[in-house]
Amino acid sequence: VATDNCAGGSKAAERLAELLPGRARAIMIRYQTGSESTEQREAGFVKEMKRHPRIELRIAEDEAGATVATAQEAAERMLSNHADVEAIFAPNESSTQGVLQALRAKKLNGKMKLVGFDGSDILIAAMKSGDIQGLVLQDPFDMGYRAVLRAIDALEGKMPADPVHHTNLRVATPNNVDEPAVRAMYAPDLKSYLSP
Amino acid sequence: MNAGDSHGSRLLGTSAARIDWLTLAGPYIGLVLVMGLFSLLLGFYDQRRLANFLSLDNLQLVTVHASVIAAVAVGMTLVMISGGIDLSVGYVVSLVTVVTVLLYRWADGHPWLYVAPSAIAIAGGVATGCVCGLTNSLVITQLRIVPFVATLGMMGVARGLAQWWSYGQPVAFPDAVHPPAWVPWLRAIEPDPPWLLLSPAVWSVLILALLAAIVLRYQVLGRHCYAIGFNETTARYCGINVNATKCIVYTLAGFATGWAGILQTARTGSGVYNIRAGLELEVIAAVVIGGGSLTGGQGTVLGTLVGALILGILENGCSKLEWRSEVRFIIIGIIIVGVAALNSWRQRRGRLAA
Repeated sequence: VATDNCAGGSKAAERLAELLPGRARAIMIRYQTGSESTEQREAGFVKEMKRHPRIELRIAEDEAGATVATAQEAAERMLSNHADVEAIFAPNESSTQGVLQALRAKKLNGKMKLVGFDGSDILIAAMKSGDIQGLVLQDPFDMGYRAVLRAIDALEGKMPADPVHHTNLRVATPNNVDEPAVRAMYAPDLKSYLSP
Repeated sequence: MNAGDSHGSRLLGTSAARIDWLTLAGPYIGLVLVMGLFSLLLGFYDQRRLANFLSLDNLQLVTVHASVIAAVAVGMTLVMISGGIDLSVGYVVSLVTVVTVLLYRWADGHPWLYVAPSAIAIAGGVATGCVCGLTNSLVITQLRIVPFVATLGMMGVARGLAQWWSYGQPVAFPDAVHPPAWVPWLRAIEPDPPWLLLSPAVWSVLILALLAAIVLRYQVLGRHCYAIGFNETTARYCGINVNATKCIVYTLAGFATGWAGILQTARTGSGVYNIRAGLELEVIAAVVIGGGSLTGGQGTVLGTLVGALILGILENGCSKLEWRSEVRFIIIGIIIVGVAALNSWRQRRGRLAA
C-alpha cells in the first residue's frame, strides 16, 4: 500500500505544463540522492515533461537536502543561477516549503509558478494566497486504512490479485483547494474517527 | 608550540613570532585562494556565471546564507577558546525557532498583555538560547561533566522539547502568509533600504561579532578565556574564577545561538523542530578554518567570520559550477582536514624554531 510516486511526479508535470502556455523555461530541484520516493517522483516528472518539448526543463544539481533551511538556501542559489525560469517543481514537503520561502525572500512569490508535493498547513495557506499553483496530494489516511484491510485479508489467508495497492493522488490547485474531496486529503476529519 | 607560548616568543622577537603571524593570516589567505580558484574555474565554465559570482547580488546571497552559521560561530569561538565545545547549537537554534513562533502565537491571542507580541517572541527566543547556554555551563562546572558529553545531552533535550511543543510539524505565525513585519525585513536577501548594501541580518551578525571581539581583546573576561583554554589548572592557580568565567562564556554563546534562532525564524517564516540539525558541525568547521582549535587557547572572532564566509563561498561556487552537492561535501571535508594539518605543521615547525 503506497503512493505511486512516479505517477505523482507526472501529475505535477501535467499541472506545470498547464500553467505555462507557449514556450517557457522550468526547473526542478532535486530532493536528496538516495531518497527512493522522491527520486521516483523526479523521474516521473522528467518523463512527463518530455511530452511538452515547448518547455525547456532544467535540473538543479545542487540538491535541496534534508531540511527546509537547506532547501531554501539551495533554491536561492538556484534562482540566482537560473533567474530566467518561469516555473519550479519541488518533489516533497520540505523542499516545497524551502522553495516557497526562497521565492518570498527574493520577492518573486506569485510571479514565478511553484508546483510542489504534499500539503502542510503552511503550503495550503500559501496556495490560498496565490504563492503556490499546484500541490500533488497523497492520501495518508487511506494508506493506513487500506493497510489494515490488507492485513485482515492476509490473516484470513486471502491473497489479492495485485499485491501492490496504489492509493489516491490528487493535484490541489487554487481553484479546487476548498472542495471537500480535496480537503479530505490534506485535512482528513480525524476527530470523527479517533475520538472515543 | 601554541598561542600562549608564541605570545611570549613575540615579545622576544624570535622566529616563532613570524609563525604565529602566519597562523593568524591563514584564514584570509584561504579566503583569497578560494575566491581565486572559483573565479578561475567559473571563468573557464561560463563568463556570465563568473560575473554573477562576483556581483553584489551574489555577495548579498552568500552573506545571508553564512549569517546563521556565523552568528552561532561567534559564540562557539568564545566557547572553543576557553577549551570547551557546544554540540547542542543545531537543535537549540531549532528550538528557538519553535519557541519564538509559539510565543508570538500565545501573545497574539492575549491582547491584554500590552506588549507587542513580536517583542515577547524575540525576547523569549533569545532568552531560550541563553538558558540553554547557562544550563550547559552549570552541568559542566557543577556536575563536572566534559563539555562534549554535557552539550550532547542538551542536544537531545532541546530536540525533544522542540519536537514535543511543535508536534513535529512546522509551526506557522497566526497568519502564515503575512507574518509580523520584522520577518520579511530580516529574511530578505536584498536589504531594505538598499543603501545598507548587506541584509540587516548580516549587519546584526557583524555587530554581534564586533562586541565579541571587543570582549575577547580588551576585557578581562577575554584574557581569562584564553588563559583557561590554554591551561585550566594554571588559570585556576592564577586566581581566575574558572567556573564563573565558563558560565558567562556559555551564556554569551547561548545569546548568540538565540539570536541565530531569531534569524532562522525570519528566514524560514516558521518554527521547525529540526530546521538546523547538524549545524554544530558546520559551526565547528567555521571556527577551525578560522584558526580556532578543539584543544582551546586559540582562535579569533574575525578568523571565525572568515571561516564562515569561506564555507558560504564554497557552497555558492559549487552551485554556480552546477556541481552536485556530493562534490561540495567532499571538498569541504578535505579543506577542514587540510587547514587542521597546516596548523599542526606550523606548530611543529614553530616548536623547532623556538
